[in-house]
Amino acid sequence: VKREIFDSEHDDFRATARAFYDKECAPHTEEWERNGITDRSVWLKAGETGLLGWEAPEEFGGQGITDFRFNAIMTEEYHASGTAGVGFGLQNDIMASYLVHMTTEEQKKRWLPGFVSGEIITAVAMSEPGAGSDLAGIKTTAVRDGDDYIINGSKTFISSGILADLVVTAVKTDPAAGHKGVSLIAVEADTPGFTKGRKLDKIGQKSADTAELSFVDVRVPATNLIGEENRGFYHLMRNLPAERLGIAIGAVAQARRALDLTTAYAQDRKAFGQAIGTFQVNRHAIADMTVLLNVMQVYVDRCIIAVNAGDLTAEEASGAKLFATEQQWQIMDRCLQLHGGYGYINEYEIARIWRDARVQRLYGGTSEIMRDLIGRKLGF
Amino acid sequence: VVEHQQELDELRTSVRKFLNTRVPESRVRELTKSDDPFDPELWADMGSMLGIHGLAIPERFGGDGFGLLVAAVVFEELGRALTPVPYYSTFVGAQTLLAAGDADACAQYLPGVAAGTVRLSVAAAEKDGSWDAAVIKTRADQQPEGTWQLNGTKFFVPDAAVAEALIVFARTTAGPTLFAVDPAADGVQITPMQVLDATRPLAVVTLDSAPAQLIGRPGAAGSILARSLDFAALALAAEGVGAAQRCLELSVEYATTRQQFGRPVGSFQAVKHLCAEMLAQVELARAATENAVLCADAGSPGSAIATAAAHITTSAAAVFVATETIQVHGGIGFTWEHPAHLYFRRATASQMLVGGPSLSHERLLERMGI
Repeated sequence: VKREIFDSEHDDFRATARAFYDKECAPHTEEWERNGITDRSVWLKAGETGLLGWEAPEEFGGQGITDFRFNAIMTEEYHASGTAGVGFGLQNDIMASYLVHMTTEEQKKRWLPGFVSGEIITAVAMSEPGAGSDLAGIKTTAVRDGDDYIINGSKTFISSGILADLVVTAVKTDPAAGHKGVSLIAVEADTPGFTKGRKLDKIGQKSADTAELSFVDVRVPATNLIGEENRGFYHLMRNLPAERLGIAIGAVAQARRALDLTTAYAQDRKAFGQAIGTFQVNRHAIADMTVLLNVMQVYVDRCIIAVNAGDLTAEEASGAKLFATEQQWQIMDRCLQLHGGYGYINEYEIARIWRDARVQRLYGGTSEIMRDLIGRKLGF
Repeated sequence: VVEHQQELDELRTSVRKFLNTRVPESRVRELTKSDDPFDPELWADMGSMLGIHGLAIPERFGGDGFGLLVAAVVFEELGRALTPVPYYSTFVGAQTLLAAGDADACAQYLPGVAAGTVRLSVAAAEKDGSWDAAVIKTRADQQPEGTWQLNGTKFFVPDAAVAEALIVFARTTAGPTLFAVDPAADGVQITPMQVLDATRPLAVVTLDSAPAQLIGRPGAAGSILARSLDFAALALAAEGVGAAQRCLELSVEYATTRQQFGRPVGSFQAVKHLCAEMLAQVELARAATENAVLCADAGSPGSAIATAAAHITTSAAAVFVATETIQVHGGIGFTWEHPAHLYFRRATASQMLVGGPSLSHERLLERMGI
């Protein structure tokens, strides 16, 4: 199905993004997977190419454009090129919302030039060992002391946690007030008392640096508060539709990559004297997946338009994430199955992206949480 | 199992032969045209020629004293043939009386059941269809002279119109309590329900100051209801295995004979693999049911769990296999003439009969202590 949401400027951007991934990222995928981390230098190159922080105003190096289609293109070409591990999606889809749209002029001056150039890699620290989607249950505290906050606590599952230079941290500034006591405070990575802990050993996304973070009497100036004090929960909520839509976009893109790999494999691989794709079950499976992918794409494209218009609701985004990631998993698994024994061999890309895809149904809120949100919105 | 296998096989063969001859599909369709498909002669011959009415009744009450393993063979065959007889309802009724442990009531009803002259039916569910003692609204009140009267409405009562006694779960001040009600008595009204599966008539039983006979002690029927439900679930599971097996056979037979594009449709992978999946489901259902039956016969502590698991597995398998039987048969499977819809109706209705899949899953979890 022809996609109708893009203009020529998007097509140009797509070509730029693809060329960048093909040249600077995809050739390093194996090395990064082996090292368990990507290379900072690629961020600087991405910055030079204009692939980071375009939402920032021009005076800080950005282009002042808020258009989620560009975000979608970055994610789509990331997967289509076979890239792994780089946290551009986090920076562009999630962090821009806080750093561009909730910051003061003074903060913008401090952070945005680096955010756009790739010198400042950013992360958001929400989850804790005892609190995932249950944000009201976080235990990390920030206590006001003169012109500073003093932060204590620990965070886990933090994407880009090892490379991050600036971590937007969800803290309790009023521990008695539940979700109404949450604030967002940016912590520079070189602040005394802030330490990057263990890089978590994950099933997939091996080259993505997901980490634990620890805060012991971390003193940061009160001017690092992002948005309003005790309004952090609402700031986070505001960005959830885009974050979840970003995951849905990734689901379609990664499923498409899997299907492309598999279609090629089913043409090349012979068994019983014929290409395996010509066996009826396989032909039907590829047909089913192709149709499903078209449906997913149309649905997600519609949501992209809605998020641009500012009318994608939280539960609609949850629905897109739920549907796209669950269907993606069916496709990934079927694609791996079509590879037969080779699907289990890491030499084949399908093995990696199958592993990488598993977390899609978990992060950004599990499928069960998505269903719960939607169900509650329906009044149950 | 193995030591009795030959007897079980012989029983299966004779039941199948009898049903094939006496109640072929054409006769099933004829009988189910009315609200009341009961054929008294057929019922009598099932006793005199097959001797199956007393199989699971203890010898002291005039039966053969066999276990559920033997009864399961009969249920499989009845399910396979979709025979519209009140065997299921009578079986559940008899086992409920035995579970209640009221020797007088057993002596009153069970010899008749074994002889084929008495049919029973359990009235447990009410409007919401669940078999849950906590939601029973039907009230039992003791009269000054000591007799009992029931007031309330029971739904989904199988074969109620041809039962000699209804085994009714009602509520007293002491809690859930079991009663026997004569359906012919004043104050008892039986209204047929419009059902999906005409081979198993269901009725609404309205009790308006209906005279009732206390079974066991007042307040003791909570655990009996759970046991009664287990017998119902086991019988339904065995029926489901038989029906699903028959659907599989019909599908394979059709797929190997029907030609398209110059070859049997079963030679296409899409159809062949579907049949393979059906077989896997049938075997899974059979294994789960056999396990549950053996556990129940052995009185093993995991019996309630095994039964719930078998019920869930078999219900889902029967619905799947019946649904896909229609698909394998293509257009012909969607016609009135073809039996596929009869199996589909039976599978769907049976899955819902004791509360449906959600409640079945809840029950399984509860029994596992979760």
